[in-house]
Amino acid sequence: MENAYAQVIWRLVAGGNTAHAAITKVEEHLKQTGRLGLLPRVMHSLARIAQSQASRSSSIVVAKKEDAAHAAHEAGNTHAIQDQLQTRVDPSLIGGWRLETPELLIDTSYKKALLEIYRKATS
Amino acid sequence: MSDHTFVEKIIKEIEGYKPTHTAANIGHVISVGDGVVALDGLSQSVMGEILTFDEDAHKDLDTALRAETSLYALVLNLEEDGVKAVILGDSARVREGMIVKSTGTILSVPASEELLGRVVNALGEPIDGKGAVKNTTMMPIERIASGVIDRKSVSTPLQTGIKAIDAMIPIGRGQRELIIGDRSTGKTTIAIDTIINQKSEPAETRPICVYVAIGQKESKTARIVQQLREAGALEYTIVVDAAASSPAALQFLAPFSGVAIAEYFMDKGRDVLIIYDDLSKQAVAYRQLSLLLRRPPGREAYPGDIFYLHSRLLERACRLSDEKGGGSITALPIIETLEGDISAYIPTNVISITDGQIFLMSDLFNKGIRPAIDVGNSVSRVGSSAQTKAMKGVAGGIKLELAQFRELEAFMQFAQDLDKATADRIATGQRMVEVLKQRNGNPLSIEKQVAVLYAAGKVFFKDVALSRVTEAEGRFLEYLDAEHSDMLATIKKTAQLNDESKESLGRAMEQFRMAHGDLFEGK
Repeated sequence: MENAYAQVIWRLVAGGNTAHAAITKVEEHLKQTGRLGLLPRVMHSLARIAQSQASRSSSIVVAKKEDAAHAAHEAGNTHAIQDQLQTRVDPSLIGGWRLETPELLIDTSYKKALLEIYRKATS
Repeated sequence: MSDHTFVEKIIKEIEGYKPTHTAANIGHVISVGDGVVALDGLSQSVMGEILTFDEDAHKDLDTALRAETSLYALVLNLEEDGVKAVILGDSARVREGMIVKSTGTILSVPASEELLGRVVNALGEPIDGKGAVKNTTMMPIERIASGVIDRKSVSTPLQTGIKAIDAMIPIGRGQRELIIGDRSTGKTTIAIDTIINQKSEPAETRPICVYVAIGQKESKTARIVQQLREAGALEYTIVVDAAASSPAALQFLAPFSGVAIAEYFMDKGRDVLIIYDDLSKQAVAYRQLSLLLRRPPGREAYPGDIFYLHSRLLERACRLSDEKGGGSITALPIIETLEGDISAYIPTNVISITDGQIFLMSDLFNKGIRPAIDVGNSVSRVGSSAQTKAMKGVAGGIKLELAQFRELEAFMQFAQDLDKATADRIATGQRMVEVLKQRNGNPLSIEKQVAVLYAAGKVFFKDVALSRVTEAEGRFLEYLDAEHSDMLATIKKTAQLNDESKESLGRAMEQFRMAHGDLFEGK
């Protein structure tokens, strides 16, 4: 229930309302329906949604920092990336790159290739 | 595999490796608990889809290589802001924020002839330590049951080897017959004896058996596997095990995995016998999952679709038309009742779905009547059309006779005041009950069942002391085996009890009576 109210607040804000106005509207509704006790849980749920949305940023992961430009270029050539890409370094990739968007993963790393080869050979 | 062969295989894999830059639809773990994971993203996932956890991220190559097998989850809820899935494995391996990849495939299990004699888990992975199963075909665990046009009516008997069932509650191939009763009343024993009895069938028409253990103790399943092995029945049996210690998701999936494997054989024109032991525990597992998935609870806190859970499973048991290969799946679901209450929620649901039920009673079991079948409450709605003529001929009046005996049983305490007709009827009924008793693990071939029931119907055991009826029956069967095996063979071959067979059976009974006078003097 609290999640549904949090979604409502989130959508009101996305629709152009100020956060204060959106929360006040929902608070009014909760008061009228005798569910004001839910408000702290609604706010907690809202915080989770906000946190989840904030983590929905796209990043490109490379094995070495100097590979970043080439990887971003290659990723941009093969897939239309609309977001600003953050660069992260993960030496465990060995080589290649890994593009992580909120809903998409493209893994061209050497680690993935080696794991695939090993698993096919041992299965 | 030797080091040299392994290196060669690796080289071959490297040479043939083609890098792919395919994009995977992903989501992130928001929360995990009680085997259920909440995920955001995954906007393209569908119900029943398999997801895989990206456990290799942030691990170095060496650690990733040594990692356990992949961890999967099954999508069961599509929600406004994400999906909820059940973890098909150890949920302790899942971390918040972990990437989860969509596989685009509906959950399937591997099936093949090589599965015969094997024990697998609910995902079809071998758990008997005999290595991987090769040459498999993936069978979807959820499949729409065959339609009306693709089916034909039940016409071939499935012999259980249990006199009381084959005579009074016959089962046909393609039927769904529920075995229902309290705990420790012999439900599993009936199912296992039925599997063992299939050994007497010719190999080409012998049903493949699938035993699905749901929420059972590992020790019980191990004992059953051992029993099947010792009886030589494991070679045509597949055991699907979702033990009590398995996650609820696997206990919920096990019957579907079992029927998916059964369908593989049915599609090839084979007859299959599948046993779900038991569906009450599957219902409980599904209730647990549904509550964790926050689906609205209904009666006894079961979710609204609990009926559909069992109906869609049991509807997959059928006999296919000749055009579709003529294969069949016979289902023997088991339901455990509490205090003999067959009007509880899950029992009534499954009773209404199946084509009949074998009701076992604690009282009868405790009186030593085994199998403890309550004839009055047991029924087979379609099996009689599959019963052989020989069995129909001898079994016709047994049910009525037993019902009348039960009515009169109450008067037994006034035995001294009873008239002769009533006393005789009680004596005959008591002997019929004795004849229908059968030790577990001792299924009887159909021709022997016919012979002994014919004899019982002719009040052959009337002069035998009640305590010696079982002994007399055993010795009579031994005698028939030794002296009249050709007559038994004829009954088996023709599946009929013609006048000639009746005559020679009558002669055999007379000869046996003469030769074993001691048995017939103890009334």
